[in-house]
Amino acid sequence: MFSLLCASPGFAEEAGGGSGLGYGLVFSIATLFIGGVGVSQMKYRDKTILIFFAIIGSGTYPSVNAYMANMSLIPKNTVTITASRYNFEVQGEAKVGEPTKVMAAATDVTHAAFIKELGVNLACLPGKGGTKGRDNFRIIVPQQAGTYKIKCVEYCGELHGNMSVDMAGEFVVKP
Amino acid sequence: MGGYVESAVWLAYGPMALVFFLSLVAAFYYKPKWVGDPSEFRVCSITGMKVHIPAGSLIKANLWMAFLFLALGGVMAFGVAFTRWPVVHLLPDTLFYRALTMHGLAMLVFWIVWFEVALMYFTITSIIGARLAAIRTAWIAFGLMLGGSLVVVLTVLTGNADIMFTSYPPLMAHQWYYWGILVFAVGAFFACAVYYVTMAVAFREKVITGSLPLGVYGMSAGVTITLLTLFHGAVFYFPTWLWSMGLFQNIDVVIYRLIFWAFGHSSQQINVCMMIACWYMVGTLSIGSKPLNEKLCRTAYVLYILFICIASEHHLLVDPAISPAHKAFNTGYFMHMAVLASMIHALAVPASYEIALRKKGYTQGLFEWLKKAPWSNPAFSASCLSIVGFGWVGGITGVTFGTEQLNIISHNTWRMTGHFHGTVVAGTSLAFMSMTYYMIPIALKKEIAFPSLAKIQPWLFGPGVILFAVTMMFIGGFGIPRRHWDITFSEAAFSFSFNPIVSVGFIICAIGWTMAIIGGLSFVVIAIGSLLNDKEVE
Ligand code: HEM
Ligand SMILES: [Cu+2]
Ligand SMILES: [Cu+2]
Repeated sequence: MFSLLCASPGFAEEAGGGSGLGYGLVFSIATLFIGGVGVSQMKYRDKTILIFFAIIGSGTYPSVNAYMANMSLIPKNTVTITASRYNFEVQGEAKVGEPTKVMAAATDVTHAAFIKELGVNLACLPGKGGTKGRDNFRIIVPQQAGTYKIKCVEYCGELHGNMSVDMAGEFVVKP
Repeated sequence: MGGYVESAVWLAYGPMALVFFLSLVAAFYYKPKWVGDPSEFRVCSITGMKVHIPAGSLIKANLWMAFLFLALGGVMAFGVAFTRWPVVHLLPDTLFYRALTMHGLAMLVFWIVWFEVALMYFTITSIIGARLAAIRTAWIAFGLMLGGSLVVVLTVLTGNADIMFTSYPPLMAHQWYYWGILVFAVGAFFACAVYYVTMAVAFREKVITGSLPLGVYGMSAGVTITLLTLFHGAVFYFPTWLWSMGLFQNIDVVIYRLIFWAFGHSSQQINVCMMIACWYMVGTLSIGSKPLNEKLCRTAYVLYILFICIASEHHLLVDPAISPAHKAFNTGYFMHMAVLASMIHALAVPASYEIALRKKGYTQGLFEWLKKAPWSNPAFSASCLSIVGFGWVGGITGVTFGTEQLNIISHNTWRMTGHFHGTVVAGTSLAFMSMTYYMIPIALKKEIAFPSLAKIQPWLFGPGVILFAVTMMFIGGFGIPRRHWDITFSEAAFSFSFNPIVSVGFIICAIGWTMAIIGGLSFVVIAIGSLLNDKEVE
């Protein structure tokens, strides 16, 4: 049953960063329900707990699998995002349907680059004494061409709120 | 110079850990002289149990601080919430971030921890009926926590720590901020030590024979996690504090975030343990419920202790600290070890309520017990609302957003803010409110003030929080970020706008915020009124 649920279209899309709230909710409510059956059948407690785990496992497996499949794609393009107060510098472009490695780091304080539509949400971390920090990355496969605004989602100072719409903060996906 | 201090501190962690665990062991072998005498006890007219009178003033002092901080946090909540609503946009940016820092700290740290300390003393002296050993240490703990929290509040309010409660370096607060936090934490550590020593003494003096009542067992699980949590806290706050004084050159952000969340998430599990303990205790006190299956519920608490650190990882899903495979397997599989425990309680607590009410004769149909439940008892109704808020609003969304795939589109949006207002406000805070309605009469022998206001208080606070938490999650789904001063970007170079449905969401949020703030402040009025109440419980 769970494998079926997980194979639903919403879920497949989600591995690439789409919306999967439906899947998550169904999954959680179902596990809660099964947990309930487990508790009410207390006599068979040990067995039910085992079954419970097995079901969670089988439900989660395809999800983990799909995600890992995505992360192990060999990227064709690389886009580098460098954050500093208060803008994002973007180098490189992505292409529709091509695996792209998105890298992110910062040069002053912690920022985070968020593009919901593309499933990009990366902490941009600084290194020692104003240098660029460790690169954080994620592999995405963009589905739609366009110019996406990068929002900063980590508090980085007084103007944090305005950082999101700086011109430099644009992520381009070519058709 | 800085470099040497740095390596010395890292080297010091080994011995520190050793001292820490030795002190735990020592707590069990500590043999205080019997200083109490039977006249220090009275019999409670509500529980029929022995209550240790000298513990009362400590409980009272800690409760005072908890309620005052709840009030402070509530005032800040007003400023924060109505700045986020673009229609009102109350505060300028600097003040907004200051209020937000203060709100997070006053609520999540100070209100919760002060209350938990009071609750620890309460369970051990009034539910078990042991005498509070090491009273002087308990007062020292109180003093340290008081000093620490006041220093933090002053530092934040004077604008010397506008860095949010997460305080990710290289954002740096004035050194007083870290001093305050550390001193407060040392105080909390002493309070835990007092709890353990009291427990050890109670075992030795045969006040406790056999196993602990389930509620107290849960509290003990919570205190154990507190010790682990404080240890993690020391590991990163200590170097950060040295860094703020210029003695440390750099703080590695990646490591800071990793250990911060080992601390930050574990501390949420303390809240969960103690909240569930409150559900069990309030159930027993209000309707005489009994745990369904002791062994299973106890196992669930042990699962919390064992697996909570593993579950912390869902805070790091956008971080480079851990590999993609690790993230996926952790949040796909291992996280459920701790989740399983919550599932057990989520079903076991309401079931125990149902059974108790059915035993009272409300057996018609499926839901007579629910209809005839004592809804006008504020402790009972607050507990039930807390179960709904925690389980269905906070818990389910937490498990969902905690998976790698969903987290990536929800991290640091209002989905998160909505989720944790479900857990820590509708769940924990409301459970603590419900417990207060029994704590003050039992431990302090004082009647609850403003009883008619108390009847409606949970119904303002609970549904208010649930309303705004759900709505925040809903509009967070459109990408509304958290900690943003201005989502209309009026001062930015280019315009950006969200889906128009978001503005409807904000209106619903505003209704929820208003209900919750009024409900929260009426609680403060009732609680402080009760502390000042002259009327004694017969
Ligand atoms: C009384 C009603 C409350 C209201 C109306 C309220 C409102 C808010 C709002 C609107 C935010 C979001 C700020 C943002 O994302 O920009 C927030 C943040 C927060 N609230 Fe509350 N809150 C309330 C009670 C509480 C309580 C009781 C707690 C804890 C026990 C709490 C803990 C937090 C925390 C930890 C944050 C995050 C702060 C940060 O991002 O640094 N809140 N609150
Ligand atoms: Cu930024
Ligand atoms: Cu920012």
